[in-house]
Amino acid sequence: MKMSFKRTNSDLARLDGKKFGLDQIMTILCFLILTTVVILPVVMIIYNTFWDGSKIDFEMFVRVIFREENLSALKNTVVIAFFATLLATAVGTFFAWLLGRSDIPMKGFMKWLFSIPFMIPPFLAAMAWDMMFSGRGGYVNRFLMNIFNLRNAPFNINTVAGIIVIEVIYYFPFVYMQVVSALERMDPTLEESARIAGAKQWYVIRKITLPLTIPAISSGMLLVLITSLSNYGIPAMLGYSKNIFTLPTKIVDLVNRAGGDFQGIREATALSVVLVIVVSIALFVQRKVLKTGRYDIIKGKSMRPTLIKLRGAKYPLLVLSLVFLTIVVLAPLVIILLVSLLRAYGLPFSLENFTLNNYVKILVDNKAVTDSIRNSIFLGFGAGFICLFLGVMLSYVIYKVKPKGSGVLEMLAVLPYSLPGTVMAIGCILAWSGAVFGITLYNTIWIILVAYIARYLTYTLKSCSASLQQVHLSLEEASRACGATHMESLADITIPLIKPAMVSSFFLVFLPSMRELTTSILLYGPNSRTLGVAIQQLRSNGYMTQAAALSVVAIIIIMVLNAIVKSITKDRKGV
Amino acid sequence: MMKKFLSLLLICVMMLSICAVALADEPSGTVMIYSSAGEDVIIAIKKGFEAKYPGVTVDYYSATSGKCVTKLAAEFEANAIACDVFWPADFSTAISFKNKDQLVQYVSPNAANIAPQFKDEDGYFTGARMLVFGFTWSTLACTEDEIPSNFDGLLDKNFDNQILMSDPTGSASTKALVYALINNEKYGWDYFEQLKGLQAELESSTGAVNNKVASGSYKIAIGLDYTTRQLIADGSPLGYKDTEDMVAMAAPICIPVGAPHEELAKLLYDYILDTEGGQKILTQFHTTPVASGVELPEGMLDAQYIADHALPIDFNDLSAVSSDLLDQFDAIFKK
Repeated sequence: MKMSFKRTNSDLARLDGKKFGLDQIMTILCFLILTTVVILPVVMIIYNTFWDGSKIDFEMFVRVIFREENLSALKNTVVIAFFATLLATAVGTFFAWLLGRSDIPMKGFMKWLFSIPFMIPPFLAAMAWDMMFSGRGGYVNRFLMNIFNLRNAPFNINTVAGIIVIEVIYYFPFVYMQVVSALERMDPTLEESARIAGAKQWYVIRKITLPLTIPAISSGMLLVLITSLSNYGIPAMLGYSKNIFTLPTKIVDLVNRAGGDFQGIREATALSVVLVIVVSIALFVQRKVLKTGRYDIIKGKSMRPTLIKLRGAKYPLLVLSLVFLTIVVLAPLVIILLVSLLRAYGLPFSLENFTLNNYVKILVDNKAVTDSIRNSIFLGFGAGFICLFLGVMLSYVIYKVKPKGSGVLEMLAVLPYSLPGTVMAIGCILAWSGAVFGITLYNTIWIILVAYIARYLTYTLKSCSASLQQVHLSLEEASRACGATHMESLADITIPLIKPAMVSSFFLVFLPSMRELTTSILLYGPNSRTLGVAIQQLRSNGYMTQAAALSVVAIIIIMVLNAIVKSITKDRKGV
Repeated sequence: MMKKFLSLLLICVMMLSICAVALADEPSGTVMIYSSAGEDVIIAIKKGFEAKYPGVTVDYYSATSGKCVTKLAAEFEANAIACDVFWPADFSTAISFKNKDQLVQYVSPNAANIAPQFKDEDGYFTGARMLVFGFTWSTLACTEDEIPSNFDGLLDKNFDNQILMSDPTGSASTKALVYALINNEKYGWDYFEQLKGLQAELESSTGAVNNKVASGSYKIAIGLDYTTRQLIADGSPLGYKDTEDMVAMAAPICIPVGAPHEELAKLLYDYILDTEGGQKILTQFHTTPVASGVELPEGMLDAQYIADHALPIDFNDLSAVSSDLLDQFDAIFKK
């Protein structure tokens, strides 16, 4: 364990015989790309919030924020985000430790299960949960009431607590994915020396393992926090009928209320600025916390960490995990599958009501659907690779090069994610309709790609930087000392070490891009419809069963692509 | 020499006339429509229009009315209009654009078949499809004779904790429904307070309302005719009943100022209002046409009948009081 130190850039650059080193080029590139792709839409939003067309206007901002219902939405948002983050972090870290460091069986199967929540469109997942646990005759509720002769439904998902539970289920894989790659790359000698010195298992976990994974845990936590703060689908689906509002649902309400009046839309953007402020505070706190302990744990002598034997706890823990995963991952999936087979929405799930017609209708002779599949695959890979490249470069610049203003860089990269998709889409329309250098991307697929990059860059940045913070500079310096150029040591030392994080961060972008809805619904043009849009369209036309069928198709496509990418990345270097 | 000159002249004349014919009779290019009418409706209209004008391609953006409006408003703000024909779900949206001088004045020759309350008196927009409110009820949770024939029949103990409606904040047509009822002396705000007293609940959209009732979570909802009829046609366990006091409105079409293909937009506008074109196509999708004189399927009411029986809605006034109305509604329902 050693605190990292600032490196003297100019010396290393001079080693290459250049005045203008790779580090500087990357730094400038980062600032340039962030400004054009990510910051522009946000600036357009903020500009429109405070500029009413003729003068600076703070009065509207203050009036909107201090409206009573908006304050109560703010309170709900913070409460939900706080508890969802806390619980998701606990669950995610526990599973990461169980799968990353213990000898529990069936790891491959469980790892596969973890990726599924990402593939299900949130509104469908929320719908599936609503069907099972709704206080008004959810399937599970009815079943339990019959068995135990209960008068009232035992569960009611349409509450703040219900929303928190569903968000935990949906978001804990964020933490899991971050922490498991950190655990698998950890230097085992630290734990071993503690064991040799007589420390008990629990003590080792508490005093050695946990502190070493703090960067990964906190970056996963941050992802959960900002996702929860800005999520629209889950609170809208579960809370609406009980008047439980959060900032994002209020923002969308304000946009709807505007009815085409841009002054009304400005009120919505004002409320989004509040979200941006909340997220900035969270980021600031996270940086302060991380400053007190930053660890480089991957050093020269690398070997696989030893697996901890669970002994007697092995099978009880296995049963517990399988039951948990079955409920949270498979149950909604099964409900969606069953709905996709129904003749008509609302009929009971029985054999005579099942048909494959929904699949035939969407897959045969439906150009809109086939187009959307093609577009989403392009957007998923496009956004995935570009975000990956940018994320690696950004985190390298922020955490290893550390130029002046690196904190600003990080802030800038994370902020767009805190904006609700609808507001981000408005920002993109304003920014890319010729306002900048006359570039018009509006109504083409490129504006959606740019919007996805702005929205999801956070994922790869957080994921790669957590991993990069564990790599000690001495490794790269050793390779430089042996005569490798800066580029070579990057490519041969640093990149391979953070490769597991890179692969998982690619999927963090790829999976949600494949089914993104809120941004694309405002940005899609005649030739750039996406899968999420196609699903939503079927749903809003009342074809709930076909929407479910298309979601099943989407999930299958994602699984197949997932398997292909995994096998390609595996072949190269036993990761 | 003379022969050569003559033949050249002949060729020139021929080519010019071909060009002239092409310009005069064969419109060509693309035209973009933003529509809330539902995707299958707009695809059918696209096919019909393209068959009539083979040189023209119809591109469409199909989404909920709110999304269409937000998209167009952002386009006006960015000064980059991509929309040629705009088809939101309610008049107040069109009025809001009209009041900002953002609509082209155009009176279609086909608008003559349409009742005056379903079109703009100044010719800035014309109703193009009908939205009728009625009762959407679950055949799993109740029987047909339980269903009341008018709005006041909802205030029955039988429906305590069993009523659902869409939120006027998210659904402009529901906002017009609230306006129509509160301005009628039979109902007033008192009606909604009594509904709240029966623990009536809200959903974000008319689509969400249908799904909840279809799954049997609620007995009855104030629902929209065409979305419910579509689900019934598919076999969902739902019923639909028209009310005696009708609440109906027309979804208007209009042309934004700065539309890139204004001439083609007018052609599409005419086609949608054509009783042999768009209006006829609507009936295949359980949507009531706004023009009279279209052959209707069984159970569908004629536009003139609806015009004679519907509660009056002053959309200009609704636009003006919209915000207060929503505040008052929220004060009752979102306490």
